[in-house]
Amino acid sequence: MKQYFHGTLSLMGLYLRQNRIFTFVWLLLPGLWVTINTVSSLVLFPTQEALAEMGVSLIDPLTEAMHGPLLDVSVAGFVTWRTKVFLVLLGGIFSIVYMIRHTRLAEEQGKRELLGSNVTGSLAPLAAALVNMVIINALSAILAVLAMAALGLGFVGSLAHCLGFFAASCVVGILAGLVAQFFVSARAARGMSFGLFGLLFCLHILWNVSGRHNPLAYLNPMDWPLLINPFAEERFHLLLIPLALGATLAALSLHLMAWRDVSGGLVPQRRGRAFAKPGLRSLSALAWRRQKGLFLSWLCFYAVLSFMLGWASYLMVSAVSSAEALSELIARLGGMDRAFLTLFLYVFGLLISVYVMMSAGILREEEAAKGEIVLSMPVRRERLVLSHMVYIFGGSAAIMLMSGFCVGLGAVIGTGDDGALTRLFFKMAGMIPALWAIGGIALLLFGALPRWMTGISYGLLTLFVLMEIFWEQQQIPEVLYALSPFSWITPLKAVQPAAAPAVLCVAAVLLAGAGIALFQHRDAAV
Amino acid sequence: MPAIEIHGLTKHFGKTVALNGVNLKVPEGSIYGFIGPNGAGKSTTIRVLLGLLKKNAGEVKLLGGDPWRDNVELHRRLAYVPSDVQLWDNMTGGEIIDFLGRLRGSYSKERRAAFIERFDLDPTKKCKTYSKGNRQKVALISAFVSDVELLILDEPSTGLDPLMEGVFQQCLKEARDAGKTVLLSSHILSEVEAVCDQIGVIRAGKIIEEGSMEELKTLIHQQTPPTLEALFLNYYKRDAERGA
Repeated sequence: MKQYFHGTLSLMGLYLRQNRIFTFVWLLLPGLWVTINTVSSLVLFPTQEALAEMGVSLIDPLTEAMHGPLLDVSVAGFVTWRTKVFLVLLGGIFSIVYMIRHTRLAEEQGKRELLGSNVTGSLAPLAAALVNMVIINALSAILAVLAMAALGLGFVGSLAHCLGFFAASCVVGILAGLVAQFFVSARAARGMSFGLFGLLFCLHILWNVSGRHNPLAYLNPMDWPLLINPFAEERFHLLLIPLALGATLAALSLHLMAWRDVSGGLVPQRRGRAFAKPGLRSLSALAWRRQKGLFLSWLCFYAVLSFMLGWASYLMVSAVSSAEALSELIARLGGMDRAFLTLFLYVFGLLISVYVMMSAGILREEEAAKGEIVLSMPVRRERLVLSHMVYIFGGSAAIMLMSGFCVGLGAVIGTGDDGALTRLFFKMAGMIPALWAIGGIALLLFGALPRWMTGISYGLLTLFVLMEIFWEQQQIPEVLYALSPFSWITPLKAVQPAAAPAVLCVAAVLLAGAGIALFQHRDAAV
Repeated sequence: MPAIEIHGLTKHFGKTVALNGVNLKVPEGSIYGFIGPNGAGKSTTIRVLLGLLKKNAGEVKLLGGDPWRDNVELHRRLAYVPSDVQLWDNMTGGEIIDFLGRLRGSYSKERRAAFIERFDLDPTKKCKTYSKGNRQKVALISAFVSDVELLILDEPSTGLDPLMEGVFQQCLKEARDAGKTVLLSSHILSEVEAVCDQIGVIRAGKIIEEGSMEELKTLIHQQTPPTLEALFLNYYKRDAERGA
């Protein structure tokens, strides 16, 4: 048994030496996030009355859909309630990326072969990744506990809160390690892990919306930080569930790892065609081959998710909000169920912008890995970009329209409101220009800074979302917020400028045009 | 008219000077061996010739055209095999050979079948499962399948087994006999010695020796042992001493 894990410690050291900035951000971000929230809550609610008032205003179906019920009306209760979803998302995403990188991606790149030929046990790479992932999550949770305790929130409650998101992040990471055993490509494994994580998140929201307590919630990592009841008679024994679940999943992934071949999946590779189909003769056909997996999986995922959302909106029809701050917004959007759908469709729009970046990432990958072969063919450079733009722009639009159609269909079935289909379809369609502007930014980066494109584009997306949050809190001026394409379509603004679609489309065309022109004149970055 | 003519070609990446005034002439219908140590500028020169990189200074003529400006027209008339062949994971070798041939525009089923047989490639396997040598074979077959005037090959035979190396050299000779020009960058000096008519040696971004194999033969015979490898190592030594 021991020989399987030989060298795990050395590999742990090796992994920790890589991607240090990534690990650093992962370690600090949770602590930083609770600190920011605690400090701003202390400023916003200086007195007990202010807190009590806030407590009332938060009994609101829209907020509860996202965060669940507020358990304790205090600064500590408020901070834990406000931060838990974000902390689990953060820890989960970092854990997934980390696990896939050190399992399937390393295998795909041949690193595991190199390590495996050295004196390391066959299970050591996976074991080292798992242990490191848990350690980093633990350290970041400890930092968050220390930050909360130092700000005077109370140790036991802080501990419960941080253990909650720690357990959730670890189990999500372990799940990714398991998923990695099934897929031969890192991209597919990562996509599947994020898909499962997204599904858990949607179930969490659905259960919150339904208001009933679902016993299955005990198995959903997204729900643990709430179920552990921080600052409200903590239930530490709940942690036995993640412990058992995590141990089972980890054991399963190690078992599968031992069972399969290096760089093999659980499904053996099939033979393919000896001759290409007659249609495979142009860059467009090649782009379809490269983009179809991403496109079709996003299309189907959002079709199902949107339908579920639309159907579930009937739960909100009779809900009443007592939050004054939101009442104006809800009235403007035409009732609680409509406000619910509008806000969630906006979130879908934000999420589908990630597809735009991923699709543009494939174009960059084609240049980086296959550029020598493709660009030494008799093809114009702009043809290569255009063949992928079909998916960056057209694909994202198709996903948006499909989502709008399915949410409308779901709403018609769920609520019996016949007008919902056209209304929601056009609502989604109206957001497409913002995604195109994002696509324009991606192409500009492709032309101008190809080697930095991926990092900067995801950084910018994060920045746009942060700008939204800061704008809501009125901490940044309108002019600055206008730089984010999302500011032109956000439903939180009372009046959306009529010129928004035109402005965004013109921006998209200019940015994309500049990107293509720069690509035509620069060295190929292979 | 030479197939490739380069005068004073300079290329730098930021502060690093990759090519420092390269002069080179590849006669039409010859096999030109392009040799030099790692990092000397072989691949950079080739990428400029393919219009992948933009030159900073100098004159480059490829098949009578400008490789940057006329790239589409010129690429119809040449085929290229990169040194590190990366292929599409979810496509089979057969699909890639078909696709690249169709994209290049000159392609025949008969030649495809013949070369797949000669290189003993299983075209039904997904590229992900090919070994390095097999990936190299896919790129080589796709280059030989097309009826083009110029073959640019950047260390094309690394990873090939000795049997396939022989097939590869035979294919090169046949290409020359058919009137095609070959630019062959290689580290395998026995291969260069066996097939090349012309040789250019590049070091630190400059051509330090250029000439026909016939001219070099007398020089080679003065070496101990009398091989191109010994001559090549001497060039390095001399150049390094000159630099110091």
